[in-house]
Amino acid sequence: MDCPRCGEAIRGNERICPSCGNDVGYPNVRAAKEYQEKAALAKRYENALQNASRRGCSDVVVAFLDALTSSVAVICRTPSKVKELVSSENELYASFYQLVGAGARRLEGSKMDLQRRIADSIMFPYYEKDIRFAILSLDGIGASAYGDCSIVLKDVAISERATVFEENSVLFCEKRGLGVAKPLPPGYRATWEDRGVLATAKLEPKFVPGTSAAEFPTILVGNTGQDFVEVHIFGALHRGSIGRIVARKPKTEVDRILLEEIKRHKAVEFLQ
Amino acid sequence: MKALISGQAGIAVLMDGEACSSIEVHSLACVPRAAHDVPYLVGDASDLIELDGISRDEAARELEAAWSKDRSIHLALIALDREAASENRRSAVECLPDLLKDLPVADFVRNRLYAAPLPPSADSSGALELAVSSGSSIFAGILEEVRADQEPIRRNRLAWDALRPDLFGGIAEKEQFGFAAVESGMFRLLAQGKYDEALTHFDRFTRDHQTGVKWDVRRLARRWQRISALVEAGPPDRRPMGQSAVGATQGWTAGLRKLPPAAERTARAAGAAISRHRAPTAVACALLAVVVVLTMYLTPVSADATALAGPGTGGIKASAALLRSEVRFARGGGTARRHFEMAEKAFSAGKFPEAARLYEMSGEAVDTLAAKLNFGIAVYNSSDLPKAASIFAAGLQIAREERIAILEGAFLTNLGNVSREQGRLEEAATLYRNAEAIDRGGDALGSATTAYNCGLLYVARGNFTEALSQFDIARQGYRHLGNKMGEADTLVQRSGLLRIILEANSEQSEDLRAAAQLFQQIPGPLAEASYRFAVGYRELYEGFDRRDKSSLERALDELKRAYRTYENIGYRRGQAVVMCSLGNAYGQLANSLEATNSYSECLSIATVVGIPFLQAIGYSGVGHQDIASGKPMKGLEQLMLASQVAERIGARGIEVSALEDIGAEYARRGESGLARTYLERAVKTAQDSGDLYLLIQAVRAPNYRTLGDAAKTRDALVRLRDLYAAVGNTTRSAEVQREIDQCCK
Repeated sequence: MDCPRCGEAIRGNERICPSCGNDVGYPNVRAAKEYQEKAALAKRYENALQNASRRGCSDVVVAFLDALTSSVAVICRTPSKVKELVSSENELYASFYQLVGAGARRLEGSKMDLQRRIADSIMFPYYEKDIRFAILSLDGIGASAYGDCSIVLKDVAISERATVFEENSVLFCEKRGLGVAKPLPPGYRATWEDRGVLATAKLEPKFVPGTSAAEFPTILVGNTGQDFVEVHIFGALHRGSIGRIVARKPKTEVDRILLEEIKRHKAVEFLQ
Repeated sequence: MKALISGQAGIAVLMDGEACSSIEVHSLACVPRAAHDVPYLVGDASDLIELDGISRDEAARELEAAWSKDRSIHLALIALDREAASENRRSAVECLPDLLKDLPVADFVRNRLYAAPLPPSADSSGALELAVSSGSSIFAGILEEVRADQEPIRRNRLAWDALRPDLFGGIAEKEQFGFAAVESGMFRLLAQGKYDEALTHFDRFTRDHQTGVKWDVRRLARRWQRISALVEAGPPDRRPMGQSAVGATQGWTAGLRKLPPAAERTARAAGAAISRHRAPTAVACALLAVVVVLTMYLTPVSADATALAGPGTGGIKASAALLRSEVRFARGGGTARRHFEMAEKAFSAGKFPEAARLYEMSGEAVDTLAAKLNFGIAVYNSSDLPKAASIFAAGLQIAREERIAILEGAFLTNLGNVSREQGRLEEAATLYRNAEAIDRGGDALGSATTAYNCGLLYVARGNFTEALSQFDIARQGYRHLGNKMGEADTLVQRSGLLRIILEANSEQSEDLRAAAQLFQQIPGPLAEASYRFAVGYRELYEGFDRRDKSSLERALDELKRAYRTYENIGYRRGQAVVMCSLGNAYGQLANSLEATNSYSECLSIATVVGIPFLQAIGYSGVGHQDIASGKPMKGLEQLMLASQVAERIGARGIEVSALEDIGAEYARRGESGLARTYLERAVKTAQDSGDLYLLIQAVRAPNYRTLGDAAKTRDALVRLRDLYAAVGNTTRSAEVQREIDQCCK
């Protein structure tokens, strides 16, 4: 794209125009707003609606679309990680806990890391370090297989900088054999505003005429909790970005104590 | 099999070829996983470790240990947190014994708590009471140990933060080292003074965890300890000045006997200048040398504030790392860091007023000593000396109260620089001595910078011997550290001294050439201006020595370029100094009008900024030019002012020079009584300085023969002969003896 202010060409990973310093928007959001992306997504959505109509479940799909306007981005972590996040400004934690994080070993070099890197280079070329991952949820419960605490992010904290993607991006790239020679096909990502359109286009085949609204949350994250719509957030998350926390009942006394401490900072709802 | 283990995530991911599975803590169930799950499972865990060649059972045990470590530090911190609910603190303490009974877990908690001093929000006594009442004896023991060692922990951490990242190979590498140092117990053991044990533990940890050790651990640990010891040191004892000066003089005298052959040849070749017919030239040469060397003292060098990016950084300069360590816990820390970084950039670009404003803003966001120190330096370079003094004094007081010796040293040195500029030379000497005592043995860069500043001070006082000795120390230190800016600045200063001491130009030209080469390699407007200055001065010397007009014109050209750079960045002190230098060049070109204008401009800036030493030079220059242009009375008046200002501040070099000028003018006018009075005053002043080279210059200057006093002429020559012999210049001594023989025939 070109800078709307000075006309200088802007690279995909740039947020600030190198020529005039104008803020040209978050790279992931700009990518989702590309004409080809929006047109391809619109086509998928249109097809989904036609299919739903043909199968007699248009009303369900419309209700799902409506429900998605209040969907949230959720990150699942253990009580320990959540405690670390909410205590980020606590002097004690800054002194003794976060101190050593930089020295811990990363996934670098493993096969998993390689796959993540391939996916990142396709999805977020040259700005992968700025992306945080979450999943889309209707009830504030995330992919609990990845952690007992679901951190629900405030809409206001992410709506301008978040985009959504069809599924786990690593899995998506892996299944389609994407790489340098085979780029990402259009129509599988959307702005935060259009998250309902993307989720509907993806999940329409899962609905039947009798599907109730109570089933929507499970359908959105998949039966195994892992076939989710992935959320990509540009930039760092702060403890102020957290709206509330939804937690499973703690498995140990230690985690109960941690959750009690977390409650001092953020509202915690316990799942029955 | 390979395993990715995180106690924080409570999971171990097992990878066996393409197959992937995971086990959770406290569970034997193995869950099949896909590769794309892994980043979600452990991706952002801050305690992730990767272990190769491990069985499932071993991975489960490692996971259990990692989980226990992660949870135990959480519990310990909750127990210490004054803000935490008391019931929860009690629960945390009650949970700890089960976890801490495992020795590695207890060591893990202990090691973490030794990594930093307890912050104010920690309630260690409350935690200890809870631990004792709930029977958690291991945790109670750890707390007691940590509480007792708070002071060494504080020092140890301060010293760690003061270690520059480049010693480790960069910021990330320092963090990596820090991680290993905390986990291995090195932080704890060093705080407890167990140096050898710390090294052994570190070595074992890095071997067990396959950490690629790329550091000279022993050297780093030693340096770390040295800084820690410095932090421990209280205010330094004062060293008697006389003792230092005598020692250095003796050392220098011995050193002169070993002058290199080149220097000897130069001295021999210059010996003819003593002959009767060339005496006026010798006087002129000496006068120029004094003015030039004293002007050199005022060379606008980046080392002046002891804290610019070049020389004077390291132990003295407030680095971004120091600021980070100060704002770590503070609200507004981000703003403080941002402004500090912007200030550093502005400072490097020579935009001192802008840098001052940004440092001040950083200090407003979070009141740090780092911002205060650099704010003062930027204000100093903006030529607001009273304000700089007040900032440094305030910083010094805080650094003393907080017993941060390194910063105390930095504030002392900078305050010394302000005192020196304001003409309070004794006070400056005391401040430098105190700073030197702090830096000595611990910080090579700090020591070199203090030596450099002491050298400038000695030049101002007319103690050339001691000045040269200090510059040699500084040069050696900077060269050893690879600090080009420091070395170059020192070479420029040294070159002026060599001219006085060796009475010749070859070595001094070499120094200026070498300095110019070094400046050329350094980016930024200050280095650029310093380069022009060094080249200009070399041309000036050569033009004078060879009577080469084109050299003098090149000198003018280079000095004007230097002036423009200082003007562009608003460095008024630099402008004044270059103006003075231009006056020297115009004077040699017999352009008295331009020379007078240049000196007057220098004088005007010096008066406004409040630098009496520079004022004295300005008066002297203007007076000299007035006399040369046929206005002797006006000239004498200016020279009187120069001598008075110089006498008031104890700047004996410039005072001697002014008195000689006055004496010479009275001699020219045939007023032999007045001439003798001033010439003898010059000799006495030089004698009082205790510096043999200043005395040589004072004894050599008078031409008593023009006053018709043969006895005094002989006495002066005999004294000069003996003085040359005393400083080891046997060639000159012999030449003066021949002159004595001739004049007594």
